[in-house]
Amino acid sequence: MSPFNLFQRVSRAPTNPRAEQAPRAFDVAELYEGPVQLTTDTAESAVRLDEKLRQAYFWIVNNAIISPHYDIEYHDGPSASFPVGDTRRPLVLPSAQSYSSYVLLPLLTFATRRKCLFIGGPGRGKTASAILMGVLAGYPVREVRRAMQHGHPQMTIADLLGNPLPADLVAAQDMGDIRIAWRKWLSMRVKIIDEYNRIPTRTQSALLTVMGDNYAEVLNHVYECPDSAWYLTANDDRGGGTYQVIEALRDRIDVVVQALAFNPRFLDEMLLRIEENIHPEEVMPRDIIFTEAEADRMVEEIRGIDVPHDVRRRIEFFCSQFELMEGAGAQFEYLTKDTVRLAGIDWAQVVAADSGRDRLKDLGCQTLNGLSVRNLMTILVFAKALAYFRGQTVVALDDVRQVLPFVLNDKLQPDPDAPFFALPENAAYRTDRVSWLRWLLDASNAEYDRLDLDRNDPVGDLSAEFARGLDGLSERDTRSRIVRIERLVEERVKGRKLYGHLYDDLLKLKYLHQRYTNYLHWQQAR
Amino acid sequence: MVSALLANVLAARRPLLNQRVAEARHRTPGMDLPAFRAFVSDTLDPMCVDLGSVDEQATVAIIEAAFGIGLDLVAQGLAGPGARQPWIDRAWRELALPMRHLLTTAPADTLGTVSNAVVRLGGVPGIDVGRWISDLATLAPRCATLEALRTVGALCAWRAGMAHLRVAALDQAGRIDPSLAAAAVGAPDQAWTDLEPRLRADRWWHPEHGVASQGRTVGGFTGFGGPFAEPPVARATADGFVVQSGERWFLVVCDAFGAVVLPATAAEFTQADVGSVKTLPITPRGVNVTGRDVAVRIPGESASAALGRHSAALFSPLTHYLHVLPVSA
Repeated sequence: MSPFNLFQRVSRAPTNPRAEQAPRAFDVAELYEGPVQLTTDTAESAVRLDEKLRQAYFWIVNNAIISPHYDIEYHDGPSASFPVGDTRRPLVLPSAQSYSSYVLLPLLTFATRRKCLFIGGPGRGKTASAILMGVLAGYPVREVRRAMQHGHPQMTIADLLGNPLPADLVAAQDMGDIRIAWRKWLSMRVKIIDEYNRIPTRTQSALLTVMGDNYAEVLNHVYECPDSAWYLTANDDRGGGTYQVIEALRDRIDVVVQALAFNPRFLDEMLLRIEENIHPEEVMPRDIIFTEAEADRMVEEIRGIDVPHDVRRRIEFFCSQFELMEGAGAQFEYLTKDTVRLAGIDWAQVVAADSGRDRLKDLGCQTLNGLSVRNLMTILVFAKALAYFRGQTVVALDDVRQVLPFVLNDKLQPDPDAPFFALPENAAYRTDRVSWLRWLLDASNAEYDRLDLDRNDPVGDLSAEFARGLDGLSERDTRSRIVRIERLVEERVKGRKLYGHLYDDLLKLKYLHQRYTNYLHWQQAR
Repeated sequence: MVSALLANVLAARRPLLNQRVAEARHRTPGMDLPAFRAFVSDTLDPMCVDLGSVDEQATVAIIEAAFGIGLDLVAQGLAGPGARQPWIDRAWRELALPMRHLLTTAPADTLGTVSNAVVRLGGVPGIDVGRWISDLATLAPRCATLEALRTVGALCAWRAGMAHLRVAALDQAGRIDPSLAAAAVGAPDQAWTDLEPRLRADRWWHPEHGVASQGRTVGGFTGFGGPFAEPPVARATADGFVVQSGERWFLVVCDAFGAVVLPATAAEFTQADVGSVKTLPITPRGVNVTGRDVAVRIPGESASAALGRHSAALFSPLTHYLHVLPVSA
């Protein structure tokens, strides 16, 4: 490889340099690592996959997608911050390695084989980014482009999935005799749907089956698709020819990434590409392309990243803020926003009847809905992926803070009539969902700290006690635990307003109570 | 003006070399072309003349490789008259003839190896890079392969002060001729079979000077170019001493050949042996370290000592220096 091929360079320097913890093993080879790339460098042992992922990130952000935005900020010590403009918005200069969401989130989607939606105006590189991910998976550029599904109002299920062979249709005596010419894109590990909101509703249902259940069905024939990363782009509604997206389809999308505006100060980079006739997707270095085996291994390694107990508790606390709607039902389990939604009752009416809570302080009053299991799992997966990308073995709270807004962007719906958004200082959060979601998490963490839940969590203690198992538990001890639960419930409900986290704690206590009760009955029946 | 030989080489490969210059200018828009011209006349030309006097035909390929690598290095400010360090130019000029047999077979890798090494050595304070180049110039003719050159280079780097390479360099020394290894550590008249175990066993033993009983003084205040913003606190580890200075941590490795201060982490400091630190009084005779009085320039009436297996590190809140001494057997 010529040392001067502009776009084929992959940095040999560690992408996340840090002094490694013991044991130290000084290697003579380090003496000969430097600005000149040697042919012997290519023969050294395989790069770690997280390092390869970082190399891919930096290659993309430096050579392919010019995205000089560091909106995923990490800090190592104090960072300089400058209030700017009439609104005094802070311009923060992060003191640690920070990243562009527009490049990082699609890359994490690739690493975890999840689904990413690009949104933004036309010509902002949404499709180009998706194509890069296909090339990163090892597919030739031409194949990626041809396999890309372009949404349009006349798209049929056959266009999307495949056609039965005409000869078989005529000759077959049984449905099983008909062969289907499946579309090639179904077998790919990176699937791209361009302008998915221009697909008609009927065809969206077929797409939902593939996205949700990973199989395609035509005339009772099933094609099982491999696990893959999905990239969808959404056309601007004002461009016309768009359809309402099925909520179930929208809900299958794991992260939503906004294409940030191009900074004209980097126009020289664009000029170079024109003059050199460079298309970045055609010159991706082989060093950063992942084989299928490497991609499989990476998914496993990401799964192995640990989520510490304290981080998990804060995620639990955050998620418990939003579902409660006290006036929604008569039975305790139905006091949820989902109950209201399913009943089709006017939301404003229910909110008006929901008195007693501090509607500014209560985070749940800011949203129209709560979080689903799918949302929670996606947060965990992407937090692990981000920790993995940063070379960590455990998820830090900061990792959760960075991915959560992109996971919940389209999922946690703000209530525009909430008093929170009426305050002048919060007006920006009406439009800036990412910042609003981050603010929510920060506020939740502040409340968590105020309640000192890391040290004072009797529900957690009871849960841990239950998790140790019931083997050998005597009838007397079982009764004792049941009494403890009842006393804790009594203490918790005494004179208190019902907030989201308390609601979930009470449900957990009811669960534990029921489990012990069943066990007691079993003991008595023996 | 360049030599006729170089002029002929440049003319013969003009389209390719011009393209490389254009690429380098695209990659580094602010590239100093006059500096590259000076690099060609001051570094590349003497190399060309030296090598051409031995084998003119082989020189063409070498110069073509050197032109490309030199372009990149000048663009990065590592070579040429405006370079941050003078070592690459000096290394190329002084090592071209001694390494000509290696340059003939693998010009890019040989020049790259040497260039990367001097950049790495020049980046570590206190390393005698000039000595490394001189030693390698003496020994390179005896290196039959590039791998042998790298091994000799590692031993010379250790000898030039890269104390942390001690074990790794000794491990690699088994791959080359024992007499070459002995020469690389500065003891050409001694048998490697005697040298090697002694070097492994006693890090403070120098083949030419014996045991360095006074040890080494490392560190210094950041305001005067040192690494420590605050007086350091040391703890012993297997590799040397982990040092905390303010909000930063360092690994200090010392031996008879030199001392290095490398980045470390808070975790390494936490894991290091706290129990190894003792307080010692300072008398007119100095500090008594494990039964031996050592004169040190530490103000005050006492100093702390972190005791390791082979060395002791003396430190005090009144100084930004660390005094690392051999511990008597």
